Amino acid sequence: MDFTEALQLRMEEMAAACTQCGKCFEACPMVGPVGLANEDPRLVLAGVVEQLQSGKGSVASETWAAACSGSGYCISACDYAVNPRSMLKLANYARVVRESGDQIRKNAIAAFRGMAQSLRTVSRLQLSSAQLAALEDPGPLASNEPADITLYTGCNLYKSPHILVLVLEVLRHMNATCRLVGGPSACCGINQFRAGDGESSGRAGLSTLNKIAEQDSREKISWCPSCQSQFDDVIIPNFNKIEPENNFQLEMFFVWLERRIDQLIPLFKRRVEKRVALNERPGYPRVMTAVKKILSSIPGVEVVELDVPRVGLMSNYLTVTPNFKTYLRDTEFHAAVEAKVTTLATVFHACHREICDFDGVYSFEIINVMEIIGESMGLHADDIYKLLKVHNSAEELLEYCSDLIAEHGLNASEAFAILTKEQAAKKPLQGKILKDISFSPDRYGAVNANG
Amino acid sequence: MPTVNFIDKFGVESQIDCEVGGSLMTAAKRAGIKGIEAECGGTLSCATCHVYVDDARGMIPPASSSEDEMLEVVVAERKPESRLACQIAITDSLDGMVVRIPESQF
Repeated sequence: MDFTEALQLRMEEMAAACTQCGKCFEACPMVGPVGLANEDPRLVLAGVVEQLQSGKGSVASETWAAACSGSGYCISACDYAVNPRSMLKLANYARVVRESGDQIRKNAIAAFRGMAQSLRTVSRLQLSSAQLAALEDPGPLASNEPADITLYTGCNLYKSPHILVLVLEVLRHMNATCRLVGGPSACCGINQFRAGDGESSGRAGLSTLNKIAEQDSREKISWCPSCQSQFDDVIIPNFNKIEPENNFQLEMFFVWLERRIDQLIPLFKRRVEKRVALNERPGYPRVMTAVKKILSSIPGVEVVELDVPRVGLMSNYLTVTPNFKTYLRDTEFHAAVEAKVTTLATVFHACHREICDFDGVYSFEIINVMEIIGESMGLHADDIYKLLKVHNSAEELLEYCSDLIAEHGLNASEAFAILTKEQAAKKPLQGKILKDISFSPDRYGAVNANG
Repeated sequence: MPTVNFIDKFGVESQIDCEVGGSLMTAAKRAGIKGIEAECGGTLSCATCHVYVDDARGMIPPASSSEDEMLEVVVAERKPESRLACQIAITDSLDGMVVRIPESQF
């Protein structure tokens, strides 16, 4: 069985397993923003099942599947363990395959290249070749023993390298030996999958899965929720069909870290006087629980809960509905002001890139969770991405990082254009902006009820 | 170990010894040949290891349908001698082969 055959089989199995009860639809926070609040949940699910089977669903089912932001509320809402998030991802894939026809491969390559070009430019504006090489391969281990962990970084973590630097330093202080797998050459296949290219997606994802497995480390952990979701929802289930005997599992970094809290706490030697709210994302709730537990263990840190709706795997998943995204962001900022927090801490890299430049605009700072953990351990890494985000022209950028532009042979104007596009974050991961209703305080309650 | 001659976009030539069994892309990356990006690491996802291969002796098997599809979307001009370096397996018969690197991969 090859990857696309496994994919087809899973779509058939999910279509058969879904009872079309509609509870997943009722739990979804994207339903209102894309104008589906008045749709009959059962009929929408009937459309999803048709979409899985033929690539053609109803207008409502196709809109809903295209709008999925990966929040994951549907997973716990399903009484039949279907995993509606996976089901919607596959249903959307089926539609894209049908609609894209002979453009699939071309679209997939364009999507991958766009990601790779953006990553190489943005990371090279921040790091020298030597620094990049050190982050891509920390070097040989001191002994021939298997490493404690293989850390799969995904691709875009390298756009905010200070987070990765701190992750590696924390691991080093914990005496955890680590091998790294990441960058575009270790792709989870998500870009190709979104473009409808199951074959390329499978080739990339399975190749990366093999690279992680080949490290032969004691545990395999990942940083990026987007890659983790692609592995959980697509790559690993398909791999299980192709090789039923395998036992491949990836655990998210913060969950792994929290399991070692006893090892971590003695390293929290400095008080960090911060009142912290988290920029929470609901897609992997165990990550949020783990982060809160870790932060609460740092002397001086007070974790504050904000009563705001939480939506999306990462903030870039909400670009499909820009008004909703802005509404959620502003609501969180205002709640953070009211709660008198000193710090709004991002958890994931994409969220950090999108809001880090609001640092200081309100009464609180915006930093990443790893910066707080690092501070308590006496570790620091400059958030260069945040500094880059305040540069407003190619000339300013050239002045700020002229040495790196020269070292990497970048064209300053092209680099500025790529950086600007990346920082504007206006291109939806899901392809195009969907119907995006305006939000008023009245809608806030509706979102809360769903989320 | 076969030797392959790479000629970059400025006409500068580099001779590298390639390990049999690997791919031309891997050999070029290991040797630090500039202009072969290979962003996807050889999983046929990016077509950024596009090269022009002088294979007058017919030593390289023809492109597969997947490679041919990828060659449709290379950034530099596609020529009859266009290939993806990740899809060329190094064998002793490639000794002396000339590989030209195109103007751009992005």
